[in-house]
Amino acid sequence: MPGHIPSLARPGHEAFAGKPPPDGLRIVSSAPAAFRLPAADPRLRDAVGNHLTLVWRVLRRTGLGPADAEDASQDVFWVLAQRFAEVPERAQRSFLISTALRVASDRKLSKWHRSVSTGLDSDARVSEALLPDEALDRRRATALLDEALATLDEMERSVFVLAELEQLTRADVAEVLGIPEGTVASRLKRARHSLEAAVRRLGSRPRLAR
Amino acid sequence: MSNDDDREQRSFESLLDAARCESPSADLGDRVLEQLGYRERLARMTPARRSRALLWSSSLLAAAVLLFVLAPKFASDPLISAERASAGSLRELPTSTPSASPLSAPPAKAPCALGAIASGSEPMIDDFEDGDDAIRPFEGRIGFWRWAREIDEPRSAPALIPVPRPDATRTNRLAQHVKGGQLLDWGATVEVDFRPACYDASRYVGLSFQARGPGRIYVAARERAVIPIAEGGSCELDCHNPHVVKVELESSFRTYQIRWSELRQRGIGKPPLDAQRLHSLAFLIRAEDTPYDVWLDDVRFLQR
Repeated sequence: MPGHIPSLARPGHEAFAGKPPPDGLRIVSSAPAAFRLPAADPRLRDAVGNHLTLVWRVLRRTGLGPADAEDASQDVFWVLAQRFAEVPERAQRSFLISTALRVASDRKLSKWHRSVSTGLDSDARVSEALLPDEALDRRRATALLDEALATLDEMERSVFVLAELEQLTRADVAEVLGIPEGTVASRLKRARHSLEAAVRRLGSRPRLAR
Repeated sequence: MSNDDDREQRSFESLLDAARCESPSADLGDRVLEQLGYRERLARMTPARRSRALLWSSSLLAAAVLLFVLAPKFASDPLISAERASAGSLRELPTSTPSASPLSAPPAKAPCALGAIASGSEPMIDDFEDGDDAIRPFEGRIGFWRWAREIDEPRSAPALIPVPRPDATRTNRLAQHVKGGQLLDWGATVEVDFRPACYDASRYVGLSFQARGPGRIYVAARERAVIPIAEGGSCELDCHNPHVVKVELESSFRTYQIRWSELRQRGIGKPPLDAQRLHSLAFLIRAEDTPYDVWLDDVRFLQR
């Protein structure tokens, strides 16, 4: 009965018709169109093939869930595609890492990311039961590490992730983060100390100990 | 170093090793490249559509000015006044009348003058497998999924990004998921606005989608005529009264098919939905149906 259909008014919520998306994260388009590299270009395919795992892991260790890191990886390579002409091949890795750090930071700050990532984490927990023991151990270990990493400040975390986990040289870390090598060394030492303490404090000894 | 310290150190190193070994799913590279190609097409498409819209806006403005200038002349012409009264529609004016030519220009408020028309061959609106908030760019469709809630500030509805389905398969990994607590006013919606804000879906007979509850939702196809002018529609009175149908959801995914003819507006004697002038599609959750936990997937038009 049409007469019984309740009011579905949405006062104050204007449609987005004809306007750009309010969230700039999804489509990053700051560079001139001429710099865009087609997705089919073999150089871009190579870059994805060579650096995707690194980019995804950096995104994961800087606080994104597995699925969110996949989305963010797309954002990172989209930025590379747009600025391909500006980035020499030897600087590609540094460019991708620094872009990944920025994308991860933006995502963590955005409101919708916080609401959506909760769902992703719970989804990951549900599927734990299906994993073999070794994979489950690894997942628990990375979960514990991520929890501990979350206690570090942003810069210490970045230094630790790049230097210890991704095993970049101090010079490379310094270049990516734009800080002196000496600062990298001191922050790395401090980060490691804090992280060990956090792992201890979080209570559980890692189950991977052999 | 004591044995405990040594063991602790090895444990810590093993944590780091586990993190170093972690890798994304094997097909992520392909998906990233596919997504880059998709974004590239979208980026190429948007400026073209913008310039077309600009061209149309200029034409409409010119037509409006022409009408304004020539209107007094036509009103004083008894032949044309009589034709207008009897025909009831500008389109029925005899084209042989010399003065009919200015009147046959598109009226200034012609709905869907800037819109896209669906050919009826690509019904998929979004299966969410591309993992972003944009609908599939088939048949000129452009739009972005939003999750609007009464608690959000105006114009701040967050983009809605697909998440893995609880029962994900290799070919159907992602779906939209919204979950929230008690709301008190108009509730929440998952919606997609077409850009430009007028989409002709009359070649299709309705909408099909998968959804999972529990609870109920109202599926709405919003015509331009129910959206206020300030929000891209053409409504001046009784706005935000879209054509809706109530759908009771179940606790597992089910496919629902809704025909345009099943959608009704609140009020008596209201006209049926005009699918030629769609402004947006929405899945509405009323305040009395909150808290809510709704999944959506495979939203597509229904073919004849």
